[in-house]
Amino acid sequence: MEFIKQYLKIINYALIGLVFAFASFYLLSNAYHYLEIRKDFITNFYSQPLVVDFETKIQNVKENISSFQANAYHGNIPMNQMQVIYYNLKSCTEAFENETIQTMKGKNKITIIDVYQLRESYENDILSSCIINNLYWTTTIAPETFNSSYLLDNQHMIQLYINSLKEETSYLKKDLLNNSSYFYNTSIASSSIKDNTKDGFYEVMGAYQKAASFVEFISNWFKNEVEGNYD
Amino acid sequence: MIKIINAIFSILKVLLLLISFVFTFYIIIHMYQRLEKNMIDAISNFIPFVLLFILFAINIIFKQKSVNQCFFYNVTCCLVFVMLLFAVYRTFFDRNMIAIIRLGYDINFNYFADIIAPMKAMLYILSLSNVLLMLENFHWKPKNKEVIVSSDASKKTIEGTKNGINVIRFDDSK
Repeated sequence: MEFIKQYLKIINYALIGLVFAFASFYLLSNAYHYLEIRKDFITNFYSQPLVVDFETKIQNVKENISSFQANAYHGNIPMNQMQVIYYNLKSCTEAFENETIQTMKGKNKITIIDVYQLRESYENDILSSCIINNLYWTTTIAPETFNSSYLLDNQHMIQLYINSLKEETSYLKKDLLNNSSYFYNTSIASSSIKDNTKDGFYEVMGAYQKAASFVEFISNWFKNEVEGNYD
Repeated sequence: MIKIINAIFSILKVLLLLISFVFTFYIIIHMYQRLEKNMIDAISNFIPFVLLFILFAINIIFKQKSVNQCFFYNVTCCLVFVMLLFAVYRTFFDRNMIAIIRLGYDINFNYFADIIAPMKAMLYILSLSNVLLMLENFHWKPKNKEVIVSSDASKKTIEGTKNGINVIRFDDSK
């Protein structure tokens, strides 16, 4: 009987040791995760080259569309369509200057929440409002309804570009959502939380810049059309 | 010194159990409400807490030294509850986890759902360890005490008296 008791004692201490080890591991890994998702990216928002580039593109769009005057246009595209394109581009510039971007202006450090908000506004304001609502017509125009060979010829490329814009931040979205359920320190879990603020910021601002490039491309064509450089 | 620390941990583990149970209960009930799940299913999450509480009560009422004075067990219990309370804290207040914003609640159910399984496993193992520690001091049958029922007068010698009682010495060599 004494033998069984000794055996039970060994098993018991092994079990307690197991719980001790697991609780310690869980506590430490949680503490690590807690600290890791608090790592902010200390930078001035407007000192970032991606932000400067994106701002320049939006400024170019504003200048390109400012030359449009309904009475002075004598091109092949019907006036009502040109007016629609003008208002589409104008509302796009407003979408790029959304509330989230405005709040970022005074910030000297970027948090993971800022990255999340920027990504949300990219999806809602830029993708949904600007690219899909306002500029998606560039991929669906037909020769009989729209007399512009330049846009018609590049229709397929524009479609591909818009598709890539739609998927631009999908990985970032998964990573950001992953930061709320942390279990074991696997390489996948680590990659989704380590320095995610900095990486996420570059990723989302890259998407902004890419979308701004597309709007600038359409506005350049619009400017040429308005100024009489018809294709 | 070690006895004082052990006594502190012994009391602390009961307090931490109660606090962590209250918060866990609150979170799980709200989680089940949000998911519109049957509340009866939530009971299984509280069984290890109740079990451990009953065992702690037995330890205190019957003053079981094998459990109450086991420093390793007390420290491990405290560590588990501290871990649980840290998880509870993060569930409510860690605003850097995106799910808390995305779900739109003030409780991060997504994060806490990951805690439930290890929490239950650890609490069940602690209950089992408690029972095994109880068994450590359990005697399967009463110890046989040698009682002298008869004595050989030739083997005893009176060595003297102490407080008026004779001090007798037995010698088998005689």
